[in-house]
Amino acid sequence: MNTQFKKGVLELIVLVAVSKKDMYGYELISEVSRVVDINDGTIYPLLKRLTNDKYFETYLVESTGGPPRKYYKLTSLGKEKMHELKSTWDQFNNSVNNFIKEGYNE
Amino acid sequence: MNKSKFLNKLKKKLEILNDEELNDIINEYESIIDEKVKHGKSEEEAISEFGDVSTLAKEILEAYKLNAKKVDEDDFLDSLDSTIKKGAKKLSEYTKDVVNEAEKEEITIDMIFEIIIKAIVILILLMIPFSILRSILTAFTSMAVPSNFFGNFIVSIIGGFMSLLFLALLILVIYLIIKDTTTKGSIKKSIKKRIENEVEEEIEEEIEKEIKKEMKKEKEQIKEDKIVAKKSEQNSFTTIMLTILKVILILHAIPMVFSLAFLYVVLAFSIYLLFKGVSIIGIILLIISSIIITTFILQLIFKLVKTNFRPKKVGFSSLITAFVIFLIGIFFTIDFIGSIEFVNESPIDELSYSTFTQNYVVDDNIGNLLTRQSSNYSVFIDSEMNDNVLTLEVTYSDDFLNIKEVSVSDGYIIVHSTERMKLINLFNLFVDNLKEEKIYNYTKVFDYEINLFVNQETLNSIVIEEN
Repeated sequence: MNTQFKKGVLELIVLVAVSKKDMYGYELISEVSRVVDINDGTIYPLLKRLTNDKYFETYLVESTGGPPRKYYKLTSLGKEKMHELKSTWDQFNNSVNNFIKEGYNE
Repeated sequence: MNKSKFLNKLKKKLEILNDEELNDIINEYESIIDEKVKHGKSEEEAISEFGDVSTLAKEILEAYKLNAKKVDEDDFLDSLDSTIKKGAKKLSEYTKDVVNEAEKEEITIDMIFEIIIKAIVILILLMIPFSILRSILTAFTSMAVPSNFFGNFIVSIIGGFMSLLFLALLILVIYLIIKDTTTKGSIKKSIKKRIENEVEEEIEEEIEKEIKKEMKKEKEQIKEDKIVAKKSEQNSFTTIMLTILKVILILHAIPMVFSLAFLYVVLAFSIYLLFKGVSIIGIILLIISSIIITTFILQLIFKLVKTNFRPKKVGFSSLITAFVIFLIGIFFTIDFIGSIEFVNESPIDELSYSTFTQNYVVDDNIGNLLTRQSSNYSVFIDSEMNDNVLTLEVTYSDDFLNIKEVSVSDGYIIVHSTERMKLINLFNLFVDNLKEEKIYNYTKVFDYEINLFVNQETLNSIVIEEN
């Protein structure tokens, strides 16, 4: 699949994943890789960007036997963004599905 | 790659970020790796899942850039749109790179003509003081050294050296002109480039506004293609001119290489003479300074050829050193030549001469041998000689001459001899003489002296008969 397209979808997936519960880096990577096969390295830059855009907030939690973990939490702005992306995705998904269905029925 | 290596690499690639941000990123990646290891992966595995470090670093940096540009990136479709924009930008950057690449050949035709004209002017200007300096120096040295073979030799050496120095200075000056012209040219170019860039940026902005209008992009493409085509056309002509110049320079370098080799041989020989006890320090200094200058010229030529006429640095110091050494050398040489005595005689010691003796019974061949005035031989009266017999005695150097027979024919003495070219003997002789600060006439080593011995009665009878 086109990587840029993947990245666009990835943004939505990450937002949805964090909306369920606050997550730290590794947790998010394992969660996302369940859905899309993507390079681990690309997720962090995305998190960084979403944090810089104020869609995420971060906070540190001490972990047992290791450095403190940085948790990502969805902000209200992030929630809005998520809904927005979701509706775009639905629209896109629907129109593509309809198009394919029409093609198959003929 | 292990963890610390990976993190260091990443850190290096993200150096432009501020420390706080950078540490944050590094910590995050470190903790992700740790976590992966905790869940049963090897460190190597965990790191390999991040992919290529450079790509990763690029993506991270992009995250910041996107943040800075984030204005109208509002939804998913917009981010797709931005991807197209980025692609277009990349394409235009690429073509810009191609143009820049072509522009690296900074020398243009105008410059070459400018350089040639300047070089001719400089050549004429330099020639005047040099020929004056040259005549003064040669006049001075011909006064200081005796006017013989060696004196003339020294004068011609000085003349040759001055020519060499002239050539070196000439090439240096031309080099400086080239450098000057090309830097001026590149400044002009960079200004031009900047303007071009500005124009391009404006165009880019327009494109960003109307990204979906493919027409404009195509126009841009065509325009850039044209620029590239024009540049390459001009470049091919420049390349030809530069190649011709290079060939000329290399052709000049070839005889220089030979003279350099010759100079080294002469230097080795002179040092050998020095060890033999001949004090020719001055000549050695002259040779060394000539070697320095020749090497300098060769270096300059090769630097020019190698760097497409844009060498970085050329030192004057070697030229100045060579000149100083040359002046000292001249001083010593004149002193040395002045102290040498030129003797127009055979260098062979009288004691080392051999004699060849042959008797001749007077016959019809005697002719006017004894009555003719000749410097070729001397006649001695010897009362102990038999009647009607002449003794012919030839004094010669056994080292250089081999005498087989002496006969008389029609009033002339004929010496049948072969020359023995024993160069090593001649050379040793020369070196020994030099040590004594004397130079002889070395062509005289093959000379011989003839003495005739005859008694008074015989001489009288022959002379009377003749009359």
